[in-house]
Amino acid sequence: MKKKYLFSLAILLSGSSLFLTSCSEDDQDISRSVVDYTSNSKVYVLNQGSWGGGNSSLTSYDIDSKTTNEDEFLSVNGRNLGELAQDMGLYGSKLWITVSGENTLEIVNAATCVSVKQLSLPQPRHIAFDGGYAYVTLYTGYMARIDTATFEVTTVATGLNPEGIAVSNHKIYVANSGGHHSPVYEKTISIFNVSTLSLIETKEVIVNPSKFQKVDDNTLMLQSIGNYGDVAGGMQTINTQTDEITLVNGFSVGNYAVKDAHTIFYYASEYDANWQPIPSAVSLYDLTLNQKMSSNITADTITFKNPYALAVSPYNGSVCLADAIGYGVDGEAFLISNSGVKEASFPVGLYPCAIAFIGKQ
Amino acid sequence: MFGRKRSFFVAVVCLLPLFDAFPGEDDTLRVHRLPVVEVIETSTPSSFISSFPVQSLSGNELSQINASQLSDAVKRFSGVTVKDYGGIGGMKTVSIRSLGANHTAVSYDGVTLNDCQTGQIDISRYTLTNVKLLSLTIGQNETIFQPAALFASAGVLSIVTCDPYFTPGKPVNLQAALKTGSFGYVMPSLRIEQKVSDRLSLTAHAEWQKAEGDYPYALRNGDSTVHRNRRNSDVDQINTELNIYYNLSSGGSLKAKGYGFWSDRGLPGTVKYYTDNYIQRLDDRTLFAQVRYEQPFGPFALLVNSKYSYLYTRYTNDDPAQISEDDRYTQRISYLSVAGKMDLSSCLQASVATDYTHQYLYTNYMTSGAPQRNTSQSVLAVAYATKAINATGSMLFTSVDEKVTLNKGGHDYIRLSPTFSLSASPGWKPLRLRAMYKENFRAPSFNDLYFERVGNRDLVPEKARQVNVGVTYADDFSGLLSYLSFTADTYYNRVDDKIVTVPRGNMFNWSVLNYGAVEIKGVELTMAADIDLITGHTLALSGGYTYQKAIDITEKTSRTYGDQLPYTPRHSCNGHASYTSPWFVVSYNMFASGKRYYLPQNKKTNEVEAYQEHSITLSHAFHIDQSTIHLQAECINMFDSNYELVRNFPMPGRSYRLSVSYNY
Repeated sequence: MKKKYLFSLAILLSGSSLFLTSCSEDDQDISRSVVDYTSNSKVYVLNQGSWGGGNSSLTSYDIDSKTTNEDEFLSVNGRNLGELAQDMGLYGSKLWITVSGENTLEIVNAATCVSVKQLSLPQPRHIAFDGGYAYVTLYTGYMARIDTATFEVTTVATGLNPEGIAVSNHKIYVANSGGHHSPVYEKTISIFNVSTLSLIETKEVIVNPSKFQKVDDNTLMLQSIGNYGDVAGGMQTINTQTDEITLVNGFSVGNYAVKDAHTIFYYASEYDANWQPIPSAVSLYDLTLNQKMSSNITADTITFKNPYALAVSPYNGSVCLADAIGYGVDGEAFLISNSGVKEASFPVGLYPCAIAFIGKQ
Repeated sequence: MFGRKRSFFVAVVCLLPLFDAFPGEDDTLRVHRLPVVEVIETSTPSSFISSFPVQSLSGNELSQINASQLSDAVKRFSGVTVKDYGGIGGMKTVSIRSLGANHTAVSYDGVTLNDCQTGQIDISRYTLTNVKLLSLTIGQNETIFQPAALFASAGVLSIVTCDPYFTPGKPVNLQAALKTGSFGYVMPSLRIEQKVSDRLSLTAHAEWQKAEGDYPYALRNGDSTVHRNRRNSDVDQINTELNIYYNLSSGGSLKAKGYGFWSDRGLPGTVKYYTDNYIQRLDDRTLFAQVRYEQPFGPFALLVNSKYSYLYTRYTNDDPAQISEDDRYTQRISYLSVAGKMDLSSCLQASVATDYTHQYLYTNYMTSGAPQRNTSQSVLAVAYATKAINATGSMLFTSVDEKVTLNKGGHDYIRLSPTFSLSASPGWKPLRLRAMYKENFRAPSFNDLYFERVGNRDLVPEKARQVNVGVTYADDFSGLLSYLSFTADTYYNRVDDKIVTVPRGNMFNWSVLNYGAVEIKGVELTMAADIDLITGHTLALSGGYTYQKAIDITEKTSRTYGDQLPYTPRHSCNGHASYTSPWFVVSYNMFASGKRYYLPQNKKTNEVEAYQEHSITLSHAFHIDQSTIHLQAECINMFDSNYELVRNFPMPGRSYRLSVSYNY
């Protein structure tokens, strides 16, 4: 994001704080292959924290004991995540966390949260895994491939300010946001060969592409945000066999999470005249029928104010929604069963931006 | 009169600061023992008679409070919050009684400083070296004969620079000084005063400040603490000033000033746990010229002020890993003020003033093109003063007209802002009671209105209302305790339509809104005492305490309803002691602040820790013929307290300064 220094200084002076970088969305297109688990043992919620606050945290909620650890990363490792954590992803027994403001990638044991490794990478954003490698976008215009066994890093140039990343059909898909070039955003995705890391092609999408999710083995969903002005965002699907991009009409979202091969949970972002979020419900979109469906998560199930992250458990289909609630305050997360029953709510930190489910056999 | 012996509360008398010690001021170490005759022509009553709470520091006191910059001195005042990002180079702004820096006017020799981009004055751009009096008034100045702009804020920080002072037969005064200290700090300065004729005199002042600012700090990370040095915190700045004084044969006076400030500084940014790679730079230039003309005509008097300012800021970020940024902001501000005063009787005075300000901002990013604002301010005021009662009443009329070259401009509006004040003696002379009510507003800044994507053209001014009730006491004695004073004020402030920046759903998308209400209740106590030990040995003590409950009352269902505003301590205090002997002066200063919160929500993890800072100064002056040489050594933050005023901007630990000045 460009040209915000002076303004942010002014904001700091007036007693509030401005966030200079984006919040990520949850990215949980991983671990779907892990099918041994039938329920969740633990839910991690990554909290981005405030700009300049160095106060990212990792909240964990233990399903059986119904206990919350406000910052398990800090309490287990005796040190902080730091400035502006962005995204996390589970691969095998490890949880990988990108901390954009610290130029670090934190790798912890997913069950115990014990730090395994801290890697230094410039402004890591989002993460995807495939075949023993982690793929991480770097906001500086690169993608890093990291060997998950040796932590060896290889970097490749992408488009401007890459955000979302996914691997499908032996190809790596990178969303070039151009977010640092506001108000002229980037509108391309870069497609790389997963074996050679060579660029296959660059394709045009809706302005400011941000978040990929895997719908099925041959389909990726991609959300574009638009330019926050006259160009609206939108949703598109990518056929990863042909790399054909299809606009999903009439489907504009605040955030989304793939439920199954043809349905997607999402919520709209609606605000009143004071930009106070209007509580909304979680909706469903059917990709086969190309229409909005009524969801069983209604205003009666949960009431939320400022939804920030949404994820579906790969183990039992339950939904976790993290609500930032307001400005500069702690949030709250809700767990809703596959059948639409609220199972739990627990306190989370400032701007909960990513969710990870840990499975139980 | 009781108050007039102490420079502490004399608002206008020129007390040359330590480094402006000219022959004739035979010993500048003298603080409180000025003859009464030097205090004539005070158009402003002392702070104990004033119906508005006033605190001031004269040049001599300023030299003893371990202040190297204006902001250090302002921190001595009760009821203010100085935002300080550490080091010499950081931006520094002043908020009075939790109202926010946009509600504070800063006047430089009687004319307000202006910044239309942020609406906040960065006092780091002005030097302390040249200052003879620094005062902070809650509400407005007691004098009603002043520009209308000085009626328009919730409080005024007045910076008054040194006038020349000549002894017979010596038309030239010279002062050369050199300060040096920890973290690569060096500041040479030169001041020349020249008497050209009985009517015309000139002064010129120039100083250069350079510092590496690479001070060590400790950063706690969970169970361990990292020790590092601040990086990219260097500063290189030049302040220059030229003044021309001309006394007209008509009895009037003309004063012209040119001011230049050039600065190149690093922006150290917030400290982070695992990286330290800031390379952003800020390049500032502030140039202004102002002319003041004052003319009495019997019971009438005329005061004309005019000013033209040019402010240029360039922010660069040449991070090779990122897109290189080069943002430039240019402001041009023109100002004219005409004020007239009339004595209606020996105790009743009326004044009118009208000001016109034109502000223009050009940047390379705003979606408005170049915004412009015309502000017209007019005030009608009356003052009644007898020995027992002081009362003032004023009504300010403001009209604002916005113009932009692209898209829609902000609202045009007019506002009326009344102020009333009263100070009365209940019969026992040393005691006064005072009360004040004031309404003011702050206009949305150009950033608030037009900043790319964030700005909101529908903003209306943020309103502030203040009520103050207080008591003052000051008396002189003969004996060991020669002087004692105290003030106690309690206040209630209310801010409505507060201009805040809130996120619109994600971190990329923000908007500025009139969405907020704040309620502030506070108590301010100050005291001062002089003790005459034996002849030539005196002890001066002073201190202040502030209690502030400044809470968010925007939305009852919000998680921050009733929570203390960020960066506002409930409790804070300061103390000062100085011992003067015939050979040297030693002074001690301290500040302490309770915990604060850096975010709107009041919870343990959002706390910024309480802190204390203690400093000490030793100084000595000796005379050789017509010259005075002054030496001073300081130890600042002598207990090496590791603290922050702004989250993740650590302040320097223990540091030292040495200074020498030669005055002819």
